[in-house]
Amino acid sequence: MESRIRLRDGSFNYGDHEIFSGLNLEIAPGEVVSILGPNGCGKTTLLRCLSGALKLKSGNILLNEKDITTFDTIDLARNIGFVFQDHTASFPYSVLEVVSMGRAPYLSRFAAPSATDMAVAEAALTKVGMLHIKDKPYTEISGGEMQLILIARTLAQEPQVIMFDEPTSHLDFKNQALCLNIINKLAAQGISMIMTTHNPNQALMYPNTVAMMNNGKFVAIGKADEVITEDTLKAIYGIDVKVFSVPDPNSTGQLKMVSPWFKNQA
Amino acid sequence: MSKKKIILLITIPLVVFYVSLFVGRFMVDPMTVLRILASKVFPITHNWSSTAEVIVIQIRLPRAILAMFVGAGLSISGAAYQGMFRNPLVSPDILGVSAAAGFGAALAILLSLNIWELQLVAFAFGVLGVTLTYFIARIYKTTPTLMLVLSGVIVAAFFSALVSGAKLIADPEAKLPAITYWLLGSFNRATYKSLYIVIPIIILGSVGLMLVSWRLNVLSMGDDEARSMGVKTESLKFFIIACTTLITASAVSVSGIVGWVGLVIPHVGRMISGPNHRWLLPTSMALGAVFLLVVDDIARTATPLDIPIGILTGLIGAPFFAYLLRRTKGGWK
Repeated sequence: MESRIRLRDGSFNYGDHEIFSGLNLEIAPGEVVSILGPNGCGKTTLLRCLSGALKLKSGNILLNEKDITTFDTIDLARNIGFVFQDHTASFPYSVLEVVSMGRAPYLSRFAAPSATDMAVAEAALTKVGMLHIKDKPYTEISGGEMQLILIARTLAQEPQVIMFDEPTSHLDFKNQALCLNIINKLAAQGISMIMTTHNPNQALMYPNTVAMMNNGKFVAIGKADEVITEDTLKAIYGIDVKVFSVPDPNSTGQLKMVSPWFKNQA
Repeated sequence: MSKKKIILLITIPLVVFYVSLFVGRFMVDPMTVLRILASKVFPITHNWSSTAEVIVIQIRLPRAILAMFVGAGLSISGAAYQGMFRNPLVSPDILGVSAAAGFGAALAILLSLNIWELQLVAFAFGVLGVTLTYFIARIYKTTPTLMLVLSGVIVAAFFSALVSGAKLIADPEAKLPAITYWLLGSFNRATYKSLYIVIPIIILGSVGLMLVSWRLNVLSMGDDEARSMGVKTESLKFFIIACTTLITASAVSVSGIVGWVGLVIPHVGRMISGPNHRWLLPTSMALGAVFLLVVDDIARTATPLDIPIGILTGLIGAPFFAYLLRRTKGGWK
């Protein structure tokens, strides 16, 4: 099977402190993978390794069947976009200026974006539905808009894979939904998406692949509605969880939802 | 940036430059200044006093050129560092260049070196200071911003202590005033000999910074994000540090320590050109050149005494910065 990213027997440690070990994962073109797990389980470190920013201590990562360590900074940026969890705005650049920065991997060291690059940036803004704010200072937009702008910036890199570190952690309910919707729409155009998340319900909203992680190991990998169960959630979070089924308004099937559950509480 | 702004940013420095050549305690009328300048290129009959010619050509011209280049150089350096450190409170001497160059100058005065040798020693120490900062900050082949700032504080503190030591042992009749006066900054040491060295270096550094001006935008997103966009952050930071150090070390070596310019001017620049470094860097250069030249004109004409420029830039820069702070409510828009 064709795979965009293949992680084989990956391990990472900081000194004596092992973060994860023996992990295997495959991501196909256009696939959305959510890495679900508690704080400190190693999912962010894993994501940084998959993006090529950190090097595995053992095992390997193949990007389009080529070892990721053979890619230099520029090649990586042309293939992999990364949306960071915290972006602290520095100077009040316009939205379009920020998005056009995604063209950096295609520009020589001393160049600035050309008209063609600006057109790519505008197309990226259109894809996330934010073209109308292109001239606004990006320091004066909402958190939801900011996240979409940063996604547009990675789209301007024209990558095959985009990685998100908890893309919805700073967003309100509506913007969480909008952000996930965009991510899944973009995946349908062939970009592979890998994200870390805290929220099992977000993984259940779309027919995604989920890797459930705890203490540096995958507890389960597979289709979201198959692997997210009361048992696996209890295994990674250590609390009781109830799974509910509700009718899917878009089809005749059922949607799964989960909620934590505490015994004997009035 | 609108065309009007660009034209103003080019013409205003030229006008101020011209005015600076005829104002002073010895007034030379504007037409005579033009004729004196023209006589260097065209054969024109001399109908002016030799005093006027000496004042315009030997004193005011090199001084005005130096003030403009130092102002432009410190301002572009400040703008580049503020972008690189993602912090609008950064000035070009954050990595210790001024303190180290100051010690170099004090040492040269103690050793009774001539002015030419003093400038060389000051320049060398300025570069040495930043080199020390860079290597103290370097861990695991990276130089995190916070490490650079802290290392800069350490190096600056160390060289400041050395300057104090130099003052302590300096002869209080002759050398102590010389050290004190040098540290306060002045353009009255401008000679063509030093200009020929300093100006090419400032131009070289400024061209270097202009070349990477768009990359500075990307770098100001933070190291991790810039790297994810394919920017080799370590080599870019090294290049920026090298360019600004060349500029500031050569500026400080001839004019002494001129504070506040590199901190305040980029803010005014941002109000005019916006934050995009492609426009901010040249805008800051033009503004810095005008600002420092005007302040120097005040320094040499306001009183019979040639007021050290560092005192004036502080007296003007600090309240102006307070005004900016109030106006922008800390938002740096």
